[in-house]
Amino acid sequence: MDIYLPVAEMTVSLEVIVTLGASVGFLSTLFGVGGGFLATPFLIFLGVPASFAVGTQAVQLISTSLAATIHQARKGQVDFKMGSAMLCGSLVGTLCGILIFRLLQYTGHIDVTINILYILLLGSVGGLMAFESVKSVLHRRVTVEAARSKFWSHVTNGLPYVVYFPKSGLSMSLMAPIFIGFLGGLMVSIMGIGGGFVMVPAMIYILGMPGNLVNGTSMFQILITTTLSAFLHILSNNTVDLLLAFLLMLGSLLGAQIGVKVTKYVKGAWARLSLALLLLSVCGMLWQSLFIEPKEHFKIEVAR
Amino acid sequence: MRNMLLTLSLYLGIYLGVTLAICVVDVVSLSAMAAPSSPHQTGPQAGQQAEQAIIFDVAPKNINISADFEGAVVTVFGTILPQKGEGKTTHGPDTPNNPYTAQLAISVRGPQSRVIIRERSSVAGMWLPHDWMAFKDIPLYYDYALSSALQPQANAEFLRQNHIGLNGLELGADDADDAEDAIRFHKFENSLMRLAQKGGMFPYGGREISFLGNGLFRADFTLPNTIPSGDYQVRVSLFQDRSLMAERSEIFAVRQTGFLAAINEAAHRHVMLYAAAGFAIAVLMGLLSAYLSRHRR
Repeated sequence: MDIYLPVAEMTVSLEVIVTLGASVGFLSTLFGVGGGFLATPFLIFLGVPASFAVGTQAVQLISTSLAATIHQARKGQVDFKMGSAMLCGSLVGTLCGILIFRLLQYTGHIDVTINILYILLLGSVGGLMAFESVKSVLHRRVTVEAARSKFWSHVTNGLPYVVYFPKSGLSMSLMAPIFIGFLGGLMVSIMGIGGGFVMVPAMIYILGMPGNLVNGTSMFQILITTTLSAFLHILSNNTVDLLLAFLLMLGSLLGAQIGVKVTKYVKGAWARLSLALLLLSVCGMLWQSLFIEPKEHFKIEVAR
Repeated sequence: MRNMLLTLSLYLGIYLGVTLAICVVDVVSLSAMAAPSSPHQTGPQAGQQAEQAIIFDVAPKNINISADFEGAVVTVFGTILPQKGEGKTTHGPDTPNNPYTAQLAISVRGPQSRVIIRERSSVAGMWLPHDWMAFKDIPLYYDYALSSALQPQANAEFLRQNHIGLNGLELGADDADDAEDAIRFHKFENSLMRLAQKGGMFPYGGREISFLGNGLFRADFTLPNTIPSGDYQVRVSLFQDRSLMAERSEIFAVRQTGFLAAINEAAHRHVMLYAAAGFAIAVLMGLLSAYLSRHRR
């Protein structure tokens, strides 16, 4: 069934949108990633203008991340202290990202940068995670703590302002979570995604947080940043279609329910391996769209 | 728990602060937007008062876009009146209202907008949007029909002169500098034409004007479900020996209705309300989702 979007002024297939929402909800429950890296390119592929895809996705992310945060908090799996520390970094990162975005726009390198960043990030994060999770599946290492490499613990140990994070049971410098939050914030404004797929592995491998706390904490962090960016999208450029957002939310409601059931069976290294494979396949898709000559060299875009 | 409450109340504070700031911005921008937008350009109305040789109307006058909008058919119908001095024989062999000699052109022009064409080209092995050109006042729908008597007369030059057909659209670059490089301009102009035809914006497929006798004519235009809302102008031109005898235009409206219209209205007029509604929906759906997952466990 086709449905007309009132603000984007276009027709989309209802089933496709709900399915897309469902996969986003499923991913967020299972891995603690926002799913923006999947939904935004896909919406653009469906013909939704890029600005509407990014803006609407931000509103949809509020509901997904709120549900996931509440769900994880109920199980006691959110480290609010760590999350707040990361937020300090990510709010600043968002602002810096906007500056960088403007600068690249001015020099005309914005499209190249975004595309290369996507491929590099998805490829390297996906590749590292796949490598690590395959290794730990093979060696049957149970503790996620061990995933933190000696190199990173050495680097983070040398920093000042050491604070104890009781929930994670970690004593470390405030600088480390703030820096990771900063990177996440940069991605929010430059790439228009929540940044969960970079934050989650960074929290595991660089901060050495326990695996069960990672999803909830990253979701809590995304909830705050995405709310701000959603408001900015609505108020500054009117690029949010609430009907589209509502349909995506409806889908993600379904997907989250499935995700909650599956979470019990998919754990630790296996979960990380499947996320890694997903990241690598999206990376492959982007690579293909970038390096293989398109049939149509021109694209039409109506500025309303 | 106490930590959690503290952080939550901190963020509530941030929300309220941001909302307040946004309210201020909103009020400022609303007052800036209060100036009315320029009315829709209705094009030449040349023959309207001078000659009343054509009478026509469009049906339906209002097209409603509902959530399950699947496109619409617009019928243009009318008659060609005998001109003064022709006497009572309205169907002489050379009079313009003879169905075999009536030279009639009907065009439908949708609301117009700025349109950007982007070209992807190979940069260091990557296919990236490299060059672009913006065109101004491009109709987001354009179609036309010619009567069979006009078709043999209507060469490209004639159509362009009378602003009929795709070549008569007069595509103009938004930035005057872009028009200077003729080769580059034509490259983008041709791409615009091709993509617009492919995407259904300019769906010209050889429409016919049929004559029902007594100078009564009719033409059907099929509008796809991708048309934007706005005012659509229908122009009927009557020619004799390649010169314009009479021309009249009518307008029909394409509007979103009911629920959709309310959403669209809110998004553009009541931005603050729209943002609040979006936030409320998102929070409610999130809470619902969390509530459901509690019951599943």
